[in-house]
Amino acid sequence: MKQTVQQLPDLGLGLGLRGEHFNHILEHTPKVDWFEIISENFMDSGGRPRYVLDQIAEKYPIVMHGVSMSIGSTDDLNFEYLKRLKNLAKAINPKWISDHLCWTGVLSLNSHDLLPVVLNEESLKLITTKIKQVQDYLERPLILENPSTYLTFQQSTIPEWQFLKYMVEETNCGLLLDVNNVYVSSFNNEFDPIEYIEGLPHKSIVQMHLAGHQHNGDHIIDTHDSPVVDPVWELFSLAWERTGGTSTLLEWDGNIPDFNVCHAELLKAKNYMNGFEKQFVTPRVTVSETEIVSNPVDFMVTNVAKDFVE
Amino acid sequence: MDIKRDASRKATQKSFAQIQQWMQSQLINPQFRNDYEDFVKSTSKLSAKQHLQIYQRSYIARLRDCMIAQFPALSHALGKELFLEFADLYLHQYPSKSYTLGDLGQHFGTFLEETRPDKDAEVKESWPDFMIELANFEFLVNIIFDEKADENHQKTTLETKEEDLKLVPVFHLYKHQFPVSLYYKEVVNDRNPTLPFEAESYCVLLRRKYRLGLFELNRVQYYFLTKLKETQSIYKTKQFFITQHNFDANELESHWKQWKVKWLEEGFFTSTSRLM
Repeated sequence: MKQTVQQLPDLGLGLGLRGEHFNHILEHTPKVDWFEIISENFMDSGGRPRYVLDQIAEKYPIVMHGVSMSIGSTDDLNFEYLKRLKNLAKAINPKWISDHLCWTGVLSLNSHDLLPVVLNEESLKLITTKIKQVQDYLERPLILENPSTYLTFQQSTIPEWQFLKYMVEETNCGLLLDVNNVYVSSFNNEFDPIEYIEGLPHKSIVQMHLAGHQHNGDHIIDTHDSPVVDPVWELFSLAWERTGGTSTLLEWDGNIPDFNVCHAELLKAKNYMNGFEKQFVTPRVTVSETEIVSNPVDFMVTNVAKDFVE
Repeated sequence: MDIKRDASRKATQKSFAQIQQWMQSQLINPQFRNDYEDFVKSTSKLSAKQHLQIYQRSYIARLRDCMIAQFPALSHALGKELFLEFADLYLHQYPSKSYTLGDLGQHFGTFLEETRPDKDAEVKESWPDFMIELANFEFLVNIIFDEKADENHQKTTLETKEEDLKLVPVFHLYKHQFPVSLYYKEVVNDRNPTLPFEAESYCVLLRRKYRLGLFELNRVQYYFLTKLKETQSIYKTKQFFITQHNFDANELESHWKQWKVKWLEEGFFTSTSRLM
């Protein structure tokens, strides 16, 4: 690999690039430090999404974030997918490429969900082998995100934070710490989110994600459709202190509000950069009565109808 | 104690691949089983089955949302409830094999054809034909939206020389048994159309400056543009209609003048040379 994780820059505060905001960004060039794209939305596009991305990439640093690498699948890597990913990277020159510690399907099927990986020695061996293959092919470090999870396998023997640590030690990959996912997974799987963040290899955390979720009483769904809740800000504050500050990004994928609302939510992060111990946060938890979809993906299907001219 | 030890041993014996195949089958083809505890841990709040059900509910809900986004007009035509019944069966029969959600509805038209209620009847009803045409058309709209093409078009006006006029690169002509494109446009413009009667229709779906345009055509226009797309020459196209289809040259020229004004305005053309 030509580049190491430690050489990757701190980009500041960024936003997930969404089609709903294309026109606003092109017209107003808002003061956002950087944008993260969903790689799959652009890697096969010869239409407007790609046309817009090319313009935005000229003005802002871009990071490519994928959902389909399926690094945790027992299927072989899809090199056709990786080829397209690499081609997009060549074209837009992202600061880094990330995906999730998850699998999306086996036996050549795709659930289009970020499914939880069994965390044991067998899976660690297979996943680290695949990470090395990807890094060799992409000629850059791969950055992997902790997913939001809703179950723990009986066969899991390694805590997720430790699995990520071993993964980093074995492959020199980077980590994308999704603070909201830590909170969601810790509630659903009953582990301590603080122990989780404390245990991570902080120097390998290249980026953090923030997002909103939906609390359903006995479980939490990672919906990315609302503001970040106080307990997640609290964890962010801890992670900020432990990492010494790193590129941070807000994801908002459902009920996407105006650009300025998303941007204002992102900028709240500045209030939580003064040290974990110094923060005073009153946890605010709102429980919802209806459940909606986890890891929403419908925003990834282009609403072509909106783009028609008569 | 022995039973617990047996259960524990059974659980730990599952390989990585077995675990993933089990979970995937639970998502794509959920059936009642009693082995949840062999794979998934219970917590103080939820049983193993309830933990898995979060993924099961999300799997189908997520893909249903994507199907509605890809087929808004078909969803309107069938009604959401019936559309979702078809979508569920489709996703069961044709689970996604692609890394991109853009391919999710790829086989939906084929599936509707295979499962049409009058499949084995000698006399077919016409409404399934409309649904199938609409499904196929909607999927194509999605494909064409993202088609790779150079869109660095030159502006065209009435003054552009005819020999320099070329159809824009993303330019697709369709002939339908039903007024599919009209129905589609009514839905995407929130005009709540009723199901149409059978009537042959023609349209062009084009892209200009990365924006799609959908325009109705009459039969002659459709064949004229089909030939023009093939030859990329207005002169050759006119000659073809005059010599092969016995069109009166003056009458064709008169039609062409009207079409040209309209089609220039609608962005059908680009030019091979820069305007002076």
